[in-house]
Amino acid sequence: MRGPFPPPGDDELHSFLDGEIEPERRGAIETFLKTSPIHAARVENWRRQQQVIRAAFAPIEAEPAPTSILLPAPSSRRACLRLLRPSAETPRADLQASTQGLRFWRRGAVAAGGLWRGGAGPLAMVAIFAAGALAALAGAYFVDRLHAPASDAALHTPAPASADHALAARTVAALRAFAPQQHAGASGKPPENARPPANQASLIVPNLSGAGFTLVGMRTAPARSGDPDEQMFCLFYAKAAAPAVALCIARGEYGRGPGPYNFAEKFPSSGTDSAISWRQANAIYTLAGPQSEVDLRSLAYRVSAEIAAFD
Amino acid sequence: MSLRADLNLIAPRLRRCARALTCAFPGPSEAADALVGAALRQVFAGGASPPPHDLEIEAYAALVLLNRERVRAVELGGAPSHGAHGASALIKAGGARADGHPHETLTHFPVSNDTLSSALLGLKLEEREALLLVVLEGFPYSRAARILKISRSILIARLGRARDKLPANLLAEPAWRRERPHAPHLRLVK
Repeated sequence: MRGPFPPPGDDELHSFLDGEIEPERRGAIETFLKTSPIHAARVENWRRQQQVIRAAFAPIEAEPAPTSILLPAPSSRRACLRLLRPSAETPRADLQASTQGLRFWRRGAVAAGGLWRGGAGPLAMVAIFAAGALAALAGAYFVDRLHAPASDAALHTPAPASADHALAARTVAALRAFAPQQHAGASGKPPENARPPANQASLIVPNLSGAGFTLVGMRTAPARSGDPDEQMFCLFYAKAAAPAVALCIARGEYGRGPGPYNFAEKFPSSGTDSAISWRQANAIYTLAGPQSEVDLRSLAYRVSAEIAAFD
Repeated sequence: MSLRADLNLIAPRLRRCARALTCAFPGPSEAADALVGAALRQVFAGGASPPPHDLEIEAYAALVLLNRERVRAVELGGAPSHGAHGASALIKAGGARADGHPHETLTHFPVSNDTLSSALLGLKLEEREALLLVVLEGFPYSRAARILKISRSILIARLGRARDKLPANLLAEPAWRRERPHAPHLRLVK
């Protein structure tokens, strides 16, 4: 007996494997597969293919991305260069401001030419060129401010307290940006080929399988200021029924022992995620997720204990 | 988070997808990196700041389109162009024809000879795209379909064809590799 449902087609078998089937239909397909070894073998074969493909390409994600492909952080110097040589890569707002700056410069030059011809003397021409240059620099400054929103400035504040909060905000953002993969058949252990990037080889990757969490992804959050110490390495853990959590690690000279645990309330950008951060083994660890404060703290203590065990 | 930072966060996953799409090989690939850089710059030049999930779709969609352009350019025998995005200088010839053998079609990529690479490159590009977005990148059907700008049913059909074409044991040595020519026999001539 196959129950009241008709036997599934190929489309449904793919949806079943990829977790896209309705819950009530899932049970019927599981029952069907128990009675049909041929179809069960096909689904099992697809599952194995999936594991092989993911395992083969998993290490790429942990490699540090070359700076040549990343979008560079804006700087005043670069903005000045853009003013003088606007490129097609410049966003539209920049182009308009740059063009205005250039027009101002040209107007100054034209006016200077007129004065020169009118016999006003080289002094007046130099003054007008200086005014044009000042206007162009003001334009560059304005463009730079356009590129650096207030939140960015807050993220790079060197004060320790705000640095913790900034890391927490970046961790929550990394968690939001992370698309958790369907890890059907994943074991509780981290992937064998998972490894931190070469420049972060000393970082410890905690195994949270004791708390039921599986390592499902790794990301390097590049430093926006170009300072390699600002680069974060993020690990993402997921549990069958629970939402994913992100553990981000930033290097620094903060001493060995676990420092105070700072709990940050729910972030307005995500609405639900909270974060807890602490300093340990010359790094700042930040754990973010939608869990309650108690659960998040408990997980943070577990991570901290794992790191301490390696010391 | 700024648009720039959000896009840079997606870069590692785009690199993984780009390598699988372009050369089906996990080793370093300049061409795949150039594609990722071009895709990031294209989305950034758009200037919009959508929610992270939409940004992800935009970035992957740009990657897929640029790769199709690259493959088309290779098929036509010319150098691919990415307009003002500056990637064309880095992108070399390569890419798999729909029905071609990797040895015949890929000459500039460090193609691995293992079963997985051969099997992936043996798929049609549209099938490989669907397979990689769902299986490797873990996108739900609805989001993968949005990236490829196709319906859910077409996505599942392509995914099904791709899965059925892949060999049962992806870790085995490919058949064409097992059929090595016999080593010449040495004969002692007096």
